[in-house]
Amino acid sequence: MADDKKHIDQLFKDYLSGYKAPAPKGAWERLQVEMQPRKKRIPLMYLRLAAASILLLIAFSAGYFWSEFKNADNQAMVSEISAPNQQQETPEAVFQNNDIQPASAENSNATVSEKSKKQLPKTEAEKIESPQLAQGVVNPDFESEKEPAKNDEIALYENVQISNGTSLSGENTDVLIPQQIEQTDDLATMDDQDKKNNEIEKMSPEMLHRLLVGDDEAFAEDINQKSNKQQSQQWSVGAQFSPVYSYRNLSGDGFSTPDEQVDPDYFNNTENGLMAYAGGISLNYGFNDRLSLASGLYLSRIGQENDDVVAYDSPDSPYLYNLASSGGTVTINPQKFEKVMVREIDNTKDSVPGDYIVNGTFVQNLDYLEVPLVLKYKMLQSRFSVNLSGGLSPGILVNNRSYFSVEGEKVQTGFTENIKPVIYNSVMGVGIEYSISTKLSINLDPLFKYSLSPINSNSGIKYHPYSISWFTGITYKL
Amino acid sequence: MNQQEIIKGCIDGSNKAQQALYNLFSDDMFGVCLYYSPDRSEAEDTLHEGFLKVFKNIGSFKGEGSLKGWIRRIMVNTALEKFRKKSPLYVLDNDGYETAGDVDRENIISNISADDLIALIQGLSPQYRMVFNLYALEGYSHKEIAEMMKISEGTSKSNLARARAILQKKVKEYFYISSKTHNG
Repeated sequence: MADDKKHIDQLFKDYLSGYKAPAPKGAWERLQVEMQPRKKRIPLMYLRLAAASILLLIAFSAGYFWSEFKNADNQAMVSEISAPNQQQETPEAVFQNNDIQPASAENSNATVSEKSKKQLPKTEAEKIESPQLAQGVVNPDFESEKEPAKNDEIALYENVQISNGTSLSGENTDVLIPQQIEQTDDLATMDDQDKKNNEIEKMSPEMLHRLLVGDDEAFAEDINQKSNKQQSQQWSVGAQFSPVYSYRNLSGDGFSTPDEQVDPDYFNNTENGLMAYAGGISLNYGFNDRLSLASGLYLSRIGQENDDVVAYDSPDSPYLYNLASSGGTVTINPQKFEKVMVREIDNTKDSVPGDYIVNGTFVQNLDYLEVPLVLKYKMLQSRFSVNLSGGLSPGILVNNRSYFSVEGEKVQTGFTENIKPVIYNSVMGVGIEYSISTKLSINLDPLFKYSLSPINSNSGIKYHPYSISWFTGITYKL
Repeated sequence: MNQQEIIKGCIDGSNKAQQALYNLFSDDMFGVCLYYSPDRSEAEDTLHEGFLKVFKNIGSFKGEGSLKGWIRRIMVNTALEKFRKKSPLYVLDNDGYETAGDVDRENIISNISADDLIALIQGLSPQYRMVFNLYALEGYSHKEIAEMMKISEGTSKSNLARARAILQKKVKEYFYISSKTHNG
C-alpha cells in the first residue's frame, strides 16, 4: 500500500522534473528597476504608490468631468423635475417664474431681501450665471487644450487601459508592446515640454502597467483556464456602515439684492456641519491581487445645520414664511412656524418689516441613493492590507427635508429648493482590511467625498457638499 | 560567456552577466515557482524575489553542487517564506478525501501534461502543496519538512497523506476515468 502511494509522487516527479515555463515578459525589466544603484533607486512600493496615486486622482476627478459633461442634460432634468415643486411653491415663486428664467431662479434663492418685492435686473443675473454657463461650453476645450498636464495623466491612464483591454481579449502581447513604445515616445515628448523629472513618467507604460496590475499573460490565462480559477479575480459582497461628518464648501460671488450683497461669508458665519450616517451593500470585483473596482448600493445622508437662523415673510403670500440657506430657500407653513418663532426683529435700519428670530436648530438633510464606482489599489498584501481608493459616487436624491430641532422635538418644515436630482461625488480614501479567513474580512475605510460640481442650480452661491466617513464593514469573497 | 564568467560578472555587479544568468535559468525557475504558488501572479512574485536574492547572495555560492540547484533552493526557500507569512490565513481543508486507490500509470490518458498536474498542485491548500512538493519533488524527509515549516512531523505526515489522496482522486477524475470512458 505504501508503494502504491508513492506512485502518485513518482507521477508528479516524472512530469515536473526539468519542467520549464517561459518567464513572464517584463520580469527582467522589473528586476532591473529594483537592482539599479541605490542612489537612483526608488523602492518598488513607492513607485507603485505614485502610479496608483496618479490613477486614483484621475478616477477622483472623473466625477467632476462626468457631471460637467452632463451639465446640459442635468439642467434640462432639473427644470422638468422641479416643475411640480414649483407648483407647490409660494405665489412669490410663481410670480418669479413668470419672469425671465435666469433672473427668476436667481431671485428665488436671493429671498433674504426680497421683502422689497424688487427683481434683480436681468443683466445682473446673467453676470452671475455666466461663469457656470461659460464653463459648460468651454469644457471640452478646457480638457483637451488648456490642461496639458492633465492630458499626460489621462494618456498614462489610457495606456494602462489599452494594455488591459488587449490582454483581456487574449491577443498576443508582443503586438501590444510596439504600440506601447510608440505611446511612450509621445509621453516622453510631453515630458520634455513640461520639463518634468518624474520617475514614474519615465517608465514605459508596460512597466507602469506591470506595477499596477501584473502581467498581461496572467490575465489571459486566468480567463481561459476555468479549471485554474484564480483567487484574485473574484467577486465579493459585504455590508458597510459609517458615521458621516457632512458640510459644504461655497463658491461663487454671491448674489445681489436691492438691499445688500449676499456673499458666501454670510452663510459661512451661521451654518455648521452635522453628523449623519451612511450605509449599504458593497460589491467588489478584483481584477487581480492589487486592483479592484468597488461598487454597491449605499444610502447616504448629508446636510447642514444653523443655530442662528432668521426667517422672513414671503412678500407675496402672507400665509407663508421663508428661510434662506446657502443651499437654497426653504418655505415653511405658518402653523409650523408659530411653534418656533420667538419674535419679530426690531431693526431700525431695515425699513421693511417681517424678519423673525427663530428658536431651535434648523437642520437640512439630503439623502442620496448612491452607486459608487471606486478603484481600490492594495499597497500591502498580508493579513493586514492597506489600500488607496479613488473614483466617483453618483447618487440620486431620494429625500430632501428640513426641520427645526426644538427641545428634543422635530418640527418638520419644507424642502430646500433648487437642489439637483443627481449628485456626482468624487471619492478618495485610504483603508485597512483585516482578513479573518480566506473568505471573510473586516475593513475600516476613512473616505473623503466631495462634489466638485455644485448640487444647487440657478444660484450665485454654488453649493459643494463634502463629507468625511469612517466606513466599517464586513466582506465575503464569493 | 561561460558559467564561471557569469558568476564572476554577477559578483562584480555586471548588468550583462546578471541578464545572462537570468536568461539561463529563468524558465526553469518559473516552472518551480509555478508549482509552489497558488497562482501565476504569486509565482511571478516568488521568481522576482528569488532572483533578487540570487543576485544579492551570488558571492556566497561556493561552487559546491550545481548553480542551478543552488538557485532552485533559493526559489523554494522564497516560496517557503511566503507560505510562512501567509499561513495563518489559510484553514486546512479537512473534508475527508477518501483515498481513490492507486493511480495506474498505463491507464492515464496519454495527453496529460505537466501543466495539468501543476494546476492540480495549485488547487491544493497551501500547506498540503508545500508538504507534498518538499517531500515528493524535493526529497526532504518529514523531519526536515517539520523544521522548515515549523510544524510537527506528525502534521507533515498527515498533510502528505491528505495531499496524496486529493491528488490521486483528481488525477483519476480528470485523466483516468475519462480515458477509460473514451476508450470504451
